[in-house]
Amino acid sequence: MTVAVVLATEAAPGGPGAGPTAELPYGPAGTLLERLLDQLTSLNVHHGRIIVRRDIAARLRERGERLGFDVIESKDVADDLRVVAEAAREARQPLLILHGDTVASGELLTRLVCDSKAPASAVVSRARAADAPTRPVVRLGRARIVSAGSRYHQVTNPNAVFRGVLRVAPPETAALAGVADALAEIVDGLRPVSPIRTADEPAGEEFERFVERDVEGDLDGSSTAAPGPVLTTTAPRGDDVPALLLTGLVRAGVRVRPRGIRVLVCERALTAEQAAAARTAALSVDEDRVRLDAAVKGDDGFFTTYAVSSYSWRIARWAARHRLTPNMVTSISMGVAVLAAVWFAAGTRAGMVVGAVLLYFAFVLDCVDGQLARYTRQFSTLGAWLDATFDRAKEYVAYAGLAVGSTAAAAASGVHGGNVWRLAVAAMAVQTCRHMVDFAFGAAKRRGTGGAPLPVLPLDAPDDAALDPPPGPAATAHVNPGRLAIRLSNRTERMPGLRWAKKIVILPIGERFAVISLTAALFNARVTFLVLLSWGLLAAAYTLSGRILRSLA
Amino acid sequence: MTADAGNIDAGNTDAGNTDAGNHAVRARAADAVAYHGGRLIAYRDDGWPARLLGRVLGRAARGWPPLAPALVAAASTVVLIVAGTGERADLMLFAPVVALLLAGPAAGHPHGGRLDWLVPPVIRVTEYGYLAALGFARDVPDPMIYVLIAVLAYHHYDIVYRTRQKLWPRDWVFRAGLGWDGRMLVAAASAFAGIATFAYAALAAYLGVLFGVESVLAWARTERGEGVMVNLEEEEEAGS
Repeated sequence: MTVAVVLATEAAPGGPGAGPTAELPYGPAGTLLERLLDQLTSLNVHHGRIIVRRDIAARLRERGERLGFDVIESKDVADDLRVVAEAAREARQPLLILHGDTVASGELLTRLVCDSKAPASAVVSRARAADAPTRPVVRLGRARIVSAGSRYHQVTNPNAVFRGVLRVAPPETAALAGVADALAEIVDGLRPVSPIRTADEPAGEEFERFVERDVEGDLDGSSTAAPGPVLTTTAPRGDDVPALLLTGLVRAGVRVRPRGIRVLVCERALTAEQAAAARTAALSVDEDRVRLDAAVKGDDGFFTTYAVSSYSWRIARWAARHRLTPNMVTSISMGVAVLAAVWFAAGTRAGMVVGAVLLYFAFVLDCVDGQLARYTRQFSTLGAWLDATFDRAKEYVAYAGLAVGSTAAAAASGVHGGNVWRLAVAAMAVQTCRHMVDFAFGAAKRRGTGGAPLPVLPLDAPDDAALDPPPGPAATAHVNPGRLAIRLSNRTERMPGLRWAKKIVILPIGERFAVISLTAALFNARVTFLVLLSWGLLAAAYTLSGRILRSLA
Repeated sequence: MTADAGNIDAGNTDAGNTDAGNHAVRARAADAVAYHGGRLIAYRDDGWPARLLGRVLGRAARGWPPLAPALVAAASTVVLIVAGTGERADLMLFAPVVALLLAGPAAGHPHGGRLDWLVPPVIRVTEYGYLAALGFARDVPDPMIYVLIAVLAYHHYDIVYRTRQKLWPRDWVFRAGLGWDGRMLVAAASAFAGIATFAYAALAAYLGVLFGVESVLAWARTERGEGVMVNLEEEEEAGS
């Protein structure tokens, strides 16, 4: 369960008495804050604090407390920060910190509350020229926010903006409490700065490179998300506590994951017009469709992407509507694969063709179970184990079926491949050992990460110049084959043709199932195993050499 | 980068919080080493002979590196298999002892070297390759060899997929499963006694029941972890 800290401190335009922006109307009945609290309670966020200024405390108190939220009066930013610090110290659950005037798609809040794996994450989107004056800017690096800005903190070469929603889970809530306390002490003495600092990248060394696929849930990608001018023109007058906290966390060396919004909406509404525009934007998003799109894994292989995922989402949606669970789909898929093996074992051409088709559908269902789990958010440890284990079982059952069929086939028929059991043993051993390379390399890589502490910057420095790479040519001194390989690999990642070629050469699961189906249907088991073996050994040589070079870099 | 080098300037106002931050970073790094390092060692799937060697010899010869001996063990297994295909068939039977003596002492090694992740797959290649070659040479029915290696593959995938969910197989499973060393020794001894087919069948049946029943029981007594954000680790096996 998550606890929320909602800041309803920003004053709406129109002088005293106009109330906070959180009280702006959202639709015909209700306010921004009411809608937000409804969204939060629907996500099982029943507790938290609403921070308000004295003049409107009484008005909000009754409603907030009815929903289980404490309404807390605070006189200024330093006070706000102290309230956050207290909440963070008490928190045994994740904390969600956001503005009361936020208009966010329900799906975005759901992702933040339910799907976040990192202990700290912040909602960001691509920076547009129009955003810079009104939204706090950040610079993204590899899977983290490298530098964040606020009214008092400059960011060098920003490449994204912070959308004002922050999630911090234990153990980083302790860091959050420390940061909030420290900021509360100094915030009154800080002087406003212009948000952006530009710096040239010295030759030979580069800023930590921003990698888009590391952002959880994609940055906003297209023009569909471009907000109208109404939404981007007004700058908040008050102090932006979430931006201050994000800056503090990043400067304290906490790894904060950026969470992109893609086509979803996450806006602050500071005027009634903005509230209306944000509502229109939020209503125009087909959140079910967004969820379904996101359920399809982005980094699948070539065959999976083009011959399965292009339509398997329809099956996933159908399965969700008929209340099938992911584990049911996994089991059906296993059953279909066993049927395929039985047909393979018949040793006739018809059997091989039917088996090939069945094996293909077993694989389609294998993709559907994961998509269904992500779409309906039905994750379970058993499900993950079952999915992975049955994937292997399906493949090796098909091998056995093919080997049986090869000897069972009439000697003169094209299906007859002789005794291919030894080839089957070899193919299984090669494939399993290839997987073991993946697993062991992954474990070693993970063991090494999370190690090096991130740089720490003082909270009272107006800029982040301390992060600039040191000038001078020193960095280019040690070039070794491993680094060259990594650089080459990153370069080729940006060329679509080569990217696919690199994915195909490692013979991923989709390509393997396709190879089995095609060679079995057209030729015989001997051909299947010879192709699997030669391609598998080539793939092993390719991945091993790449990884050995990487390890030595 | 050391903790000190990363600490560009703690400043005065947030010194305490910075220490806490670095402490958390260090704790996280230690967790990662313990968890993922533990997985890497579990992937070796050592039996008690290798563990014993690791305990006795490993301490005496501290710093017995895991990778080079494992590679030599794999190479000598291949050499003995090739040499043992002709008249001197019994040469093949010495491979498990050679492999054990070479790769066994590193059983307790932390496997922290840059390339030490190669050790578990090298051990798998050695084990599967040896069991297959010995079976072929001793006329064990091919489907029987297939079944035995499929059972072992199940066990090795199970270790990976279960530790991924932080559900570690109990230690007795590794011991009862004999380990790569134990299984190779049993296969060689049975071949020496002329009962290779029986031994392959018995091993496949025994290990199949052991690993299968143990997994099912483990899942039966565990909460399914529903609603938990599971670690799918898509990145780790990008191609699966």
